[in-house]
Amino acid sequence: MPVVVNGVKELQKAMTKVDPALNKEMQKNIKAAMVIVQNKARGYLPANDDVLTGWAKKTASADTVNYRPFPTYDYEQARKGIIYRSGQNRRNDRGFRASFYVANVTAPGSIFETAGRLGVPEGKGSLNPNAPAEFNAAAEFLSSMKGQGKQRGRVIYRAWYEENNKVIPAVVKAIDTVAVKFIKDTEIRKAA
Amino acid sequence: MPNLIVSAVSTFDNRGLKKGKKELTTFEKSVKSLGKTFASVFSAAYIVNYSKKAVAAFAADQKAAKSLEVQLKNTGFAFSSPAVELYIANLQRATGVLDDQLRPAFQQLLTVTGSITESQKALNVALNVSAATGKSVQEVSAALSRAYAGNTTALSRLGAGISKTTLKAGDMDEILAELNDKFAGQAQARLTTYAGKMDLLKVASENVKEEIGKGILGALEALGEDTNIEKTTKKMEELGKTTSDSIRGIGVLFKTLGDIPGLGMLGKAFYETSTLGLLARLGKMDKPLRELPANEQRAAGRISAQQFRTEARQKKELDRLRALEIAKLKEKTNVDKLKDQFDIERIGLMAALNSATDEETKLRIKGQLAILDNNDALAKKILEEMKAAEAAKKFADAVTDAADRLGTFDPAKFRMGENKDLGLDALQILAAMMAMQGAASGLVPLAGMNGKGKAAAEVLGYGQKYSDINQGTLGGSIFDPSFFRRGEEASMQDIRITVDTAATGDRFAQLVAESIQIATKTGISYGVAGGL
Repeated sequence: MPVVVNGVKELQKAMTKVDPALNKEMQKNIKAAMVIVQNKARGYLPANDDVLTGWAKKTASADTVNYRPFPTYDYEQARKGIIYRSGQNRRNDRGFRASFYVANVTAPGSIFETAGRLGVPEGKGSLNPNAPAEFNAAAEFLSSMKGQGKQRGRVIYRAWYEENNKVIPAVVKAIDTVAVKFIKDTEIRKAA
Repeated sequence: MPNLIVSAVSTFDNRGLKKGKKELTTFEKSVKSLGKTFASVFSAAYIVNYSKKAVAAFAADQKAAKSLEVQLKNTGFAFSSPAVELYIANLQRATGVLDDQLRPAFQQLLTVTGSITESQKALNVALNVSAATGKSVQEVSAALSRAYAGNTTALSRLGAGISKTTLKAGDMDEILAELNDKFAGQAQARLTTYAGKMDLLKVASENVKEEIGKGILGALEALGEDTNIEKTTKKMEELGKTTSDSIRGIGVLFKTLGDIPGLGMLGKAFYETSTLGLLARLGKMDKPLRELPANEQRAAGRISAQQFRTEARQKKELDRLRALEIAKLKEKTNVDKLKDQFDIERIGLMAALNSATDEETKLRIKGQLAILDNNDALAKKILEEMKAAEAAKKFADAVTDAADRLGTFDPAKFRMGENKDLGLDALQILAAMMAMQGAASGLVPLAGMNGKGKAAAEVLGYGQKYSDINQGTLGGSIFDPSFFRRGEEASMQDIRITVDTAATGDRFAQLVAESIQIATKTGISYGVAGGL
């Protein structure tokens, strides 16, 4: 679970006004910790040859069908979709915003991340009634799912599950360090 | 895109939650006010007041329905009464016009037309005209009823723009067709406007009120008590007090009210008359009109057939009565003829006509008879004849006068321009000669001549026509009447005129030419001696 920190944005605003270098230092330190997660997550993506053969084939295109076809797996595309952002994202339905986050934004990446998380579907859209189960089993074989609840997956969630106990303290430390420095600088300036 | 994110830091933004809280508060307030509305609806005073109005509305509706039923019975359509009621109810729902207005209008039209079909057709036209012109349905129906009776003045004042020719002709089929062409669909179009929708709500509300009134009256009868609304509403009031405190209690109220006989639908009716109920009705306005259940449709078909047969029978009777009226009118004419024969004035005139000897008198008597009969054509004819007779008489007088003058004329003494005692010039003499010759040839009636003129005409009247001139012989003068005699003995009295033209120059020749022209025009032809 991410650490809920109140006042980070206000701190950043203040630092930008008072000492922009402190803000940059904080962001640099946090990025160093989060990039570890990003790189590990990218490592869990399978190559094009590793996934089920049908998934990597481009059997339909936008020119021949009038609906969005099932996304074809492409390693490069999925790899580029594992990103790191230092700003804040959109507020979710519970009112929380994420800062300094790693996200899996592509369709094939997301499919590989979460396939089989809710169970095995009935397979109505295929001639092979066991297609969903076989797909999930193949994905699980390539990368096992780790985590809990909605934070469970094969790519970023697996990387976070494995690295968060190191990353979170590093991030907190980075913020805390900068905050202390900022306060000291501010007091000195006030005194001055 | 799936929201797959892992982050080390997150912050809580409570702006959205504050907005959500505000929305909840507004909703809670609405719910509370709704509770108050329901509470006021079920208050005792409201129930009593509403109940009285409902009963009054039902009573008025029942009276109007009964009146229409009696009207239908009187016109021989008693069996169509349920179908007509259904028609009125559907029309009310389809047009937004209350049955309080529709029934009297329909009744009025039925009285003058005597036909349900015709009345329905006229009422539909009246509704369209009312929607277009803004006048009430009753006003338009009254105008149509008067038009059916023969008076189209009210129709012309409606402002419907009917042509004067059509109104003057008085053919109701044409008038209705013209109105339909102009205003078809107006009543339906009005329902799409705000005012039309409010009318539909009003109709629904009034119907519910009448139903409630009916239910209350039925409940009073079922209870077997004195028909006192206050007593019944007191019971309702006691029930209302226990359940009007909360919204949840409404369900209990409905159930309790339902236990009172005849009032089972009261709770539902209250909902329907409230704002929520009326708004819900708006959404159902486009549902199809009421249809008879399947098991009643066959009966409706038989009723329609019987209605058609009745109308056909009545039409036949109407035609028979019309034929009878025409026959009676003809009989009246024969009576008038007989009456004429015993008219004293007429008898006198006829006797005078029979005893008259001259044409002029006969003509005058005929003129008087024409005046008595008021016969315009005959009077005109007699007038022309009288004018012709007068003209002929004048001409004959002129001829006679000329002949008389000629009789006293001494040709030896006459010289053109010399003998002025006679006061006549050559032209007049020539004219007199022509007249006499004309009379002799039969060109003018001899009947108008008398005395010497007639004698002169008879002398000349050999029966010869002037086309025989070319066979005559030229005498010493062109005025020698012997020109016109062929091989006749000279025992007849001849008239010789010698005219000395020495002093006249060319004028005499001109006069001769003119006289020949005149004679030719009157049909007398001249030829040169020796000519063909």
